Amino acid sequence: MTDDNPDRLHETSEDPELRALLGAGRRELPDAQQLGAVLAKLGPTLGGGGNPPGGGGGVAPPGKAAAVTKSAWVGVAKLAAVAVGVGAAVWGAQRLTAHSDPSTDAAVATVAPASARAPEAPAPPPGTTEPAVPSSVPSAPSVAAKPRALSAPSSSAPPDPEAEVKLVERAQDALATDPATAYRLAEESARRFPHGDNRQEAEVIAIAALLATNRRAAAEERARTFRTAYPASTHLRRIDTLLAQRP
Amino acid sequence: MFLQALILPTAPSPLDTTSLFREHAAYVWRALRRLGVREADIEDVCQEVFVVVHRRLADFEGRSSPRTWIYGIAIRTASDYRKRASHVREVATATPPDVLSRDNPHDALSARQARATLDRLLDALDDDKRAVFVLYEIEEVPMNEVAEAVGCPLQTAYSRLHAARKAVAEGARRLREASAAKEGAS
Repeated sequence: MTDDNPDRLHETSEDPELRALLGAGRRELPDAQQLGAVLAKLGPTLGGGGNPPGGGGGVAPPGKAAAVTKSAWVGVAKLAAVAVGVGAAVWGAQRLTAHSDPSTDAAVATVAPASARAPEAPAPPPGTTEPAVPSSVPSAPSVAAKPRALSAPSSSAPPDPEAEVKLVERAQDALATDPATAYRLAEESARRFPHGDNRQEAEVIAIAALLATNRRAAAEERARTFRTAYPASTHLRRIDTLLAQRP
Repeated sequence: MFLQALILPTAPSPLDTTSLFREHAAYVWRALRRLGVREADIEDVCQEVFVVVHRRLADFEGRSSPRTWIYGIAIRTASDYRKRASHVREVATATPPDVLSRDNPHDALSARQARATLDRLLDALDDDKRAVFVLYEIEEVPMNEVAEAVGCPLQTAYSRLHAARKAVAEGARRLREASAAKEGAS
């Protein structure tokens, strides 16, 4: 992991246009509906529930994907409903490395109602009292905030998802040239949108900004807090890379 | 309350196709797009990847991470896709003649235009260099995993990345010059 990994061009290229192109390429991620469509197509392959493979029986060869699709209509609606939940979870998790277009946000907000995220909002086991929260977990308010993917269904929509996206995008854009501003914007995002979809993304930007301003100890502390708060986050690899890149 | 759910450790996901899909599908999708899979075909090709994942999962020995393994499958699936002559033709004709703007890229380039331009630059790379470039620059996979995913020695992966970066930067420069010339002529 700590092998020599040169800085990524989308962050460090001296060509701003190339950075913009690569950034656009990184932001093209599927929304919940698109992932749901793929999962629905996979339904027959997965036996409708994603069972572990049993030696390949019943699995259509890749070249027959379209044929599989045509036979998958029974139960597709049900699968799609599950898929939307899966997609929402994936989408929510992947926002960190690729802050998305506002247009995409709007589309996802439409197809990913809070109820669809229910599988991603595990309630504490019955009888569970206070969880074993490590005493060393810092109380950084930015990370203590609960990510939406883990939220219980709520009738209150995020205040302004588009504003949140724009704020995080500004923070991301500032990171290469003005990390102090990037940090300030990331903090502002955390304060204004503690339950926002870009919560983790803002946190990573803050960590990157701390590193860029030679505040490694604070960055490492924040990274530890993030790891504790989001142990399964797909963005941990990004944080590891950041920490490894800046000794 | 909610913080409890947040901090409770997440149990490792069982290695089944649905879990792998949940964790990796979005990234596979993005990688496939940058590897040259058309928007109109992306769902089917993404499906193909996870059909292969499902079919081969019993043989997965864990020598690499699931992510690396799935990216490897995605690279091969995209390569097969690109070899289909009809797709290659369609990609070539479907790519709009975008040029780079000299204005603020964030303002002047729509996301779609920017992606089309990026893909045009990536189309100029051979499959090997493109795969390394996409995994490293777009997917942010560490180089050791990139080498595993594409099935080459680490130093070869570095060489491919270096060559791909040079080609992409040069392509971007040429597009910018073409744009400037076009603006000057008008």
